[in-house]
Amino acid sequence: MDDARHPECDCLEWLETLSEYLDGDVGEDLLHRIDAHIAECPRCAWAVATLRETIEACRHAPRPSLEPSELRRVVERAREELHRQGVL
Amino acid sequence: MIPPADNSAAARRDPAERKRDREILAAVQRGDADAFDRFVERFGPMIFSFGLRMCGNREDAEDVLQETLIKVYTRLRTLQDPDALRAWLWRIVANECRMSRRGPRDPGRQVNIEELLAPREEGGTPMELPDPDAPDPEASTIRLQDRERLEEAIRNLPPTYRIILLLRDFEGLTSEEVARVLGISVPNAKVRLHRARLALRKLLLGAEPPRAAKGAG
Ligand SMILES: [Zn+2]
Repeated sequence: MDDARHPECDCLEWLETLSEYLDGDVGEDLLHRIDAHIAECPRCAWAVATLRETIEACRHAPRPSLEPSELRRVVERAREELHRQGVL
Repeated sequence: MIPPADNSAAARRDPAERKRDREILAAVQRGDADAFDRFVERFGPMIFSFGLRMCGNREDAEDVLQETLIKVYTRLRTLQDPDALRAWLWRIVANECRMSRRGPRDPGRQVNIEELLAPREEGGTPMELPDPDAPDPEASTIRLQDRERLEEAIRNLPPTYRIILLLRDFEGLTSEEVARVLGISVPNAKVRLHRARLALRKLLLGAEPPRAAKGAG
């Protein structure tokens, strides 16, 4: 590993914490230090912005749907099995 | 100050939702005539979409749905703690996905965090700055014009990353719940989640898939 590749800042140290940062899962002290770093480091600001977009995309992704006929077929098979087992 | 992403289970699952879970559980335990239909209506779409994203094909997703409905419903009658229902249900769904998956096994690939953050290796820095003069400004942002793009990216993740993203960011479980479902420690779940998010981010940014680190070993 060539540690001289990013001499300007300790970005990697921050990057390890960004998920917890975005989840509101870091202590106040660390939160302020990350905020301060992001304000001055465009690279980390970009990493935070794109990571946040990624998480948001997942959170708002619509569920892939099941056709009603498809659902009925699966549910009927499950119901039959539950009847057979005496559960229903 | 950038506000944190509102990704808590509390945000995803308000008290009214928990109340509905408890009502359905009570209906099942009383043996109400419509209990099974209510149970399917509430949990069926959730189980199916998780199965489809996890397994990558509808055939497996249908099997996962069917087996999960049978197993969960059978055991619901003896479940004591209604608040444990979700984590417990997800554990069964996750196990069914593992068992029925017809796709390739988990490659178990370990990905270096620097690779995940670097859009291009040639740049020599862990992260490339978006170039203001670049002809295509889209190249440095998450592109989601097409919903299928996200679904495809999810399919292209290693299963260990896919499952944790599905549980945490798609379904809104807490890190503690995710750890319980997967049978791993909470710190381990958080580390794995972070790497999974970085891997997905990398795919959505349109960079090449991570390669082995130069001169590793
Ligand atoms: Zn930085």
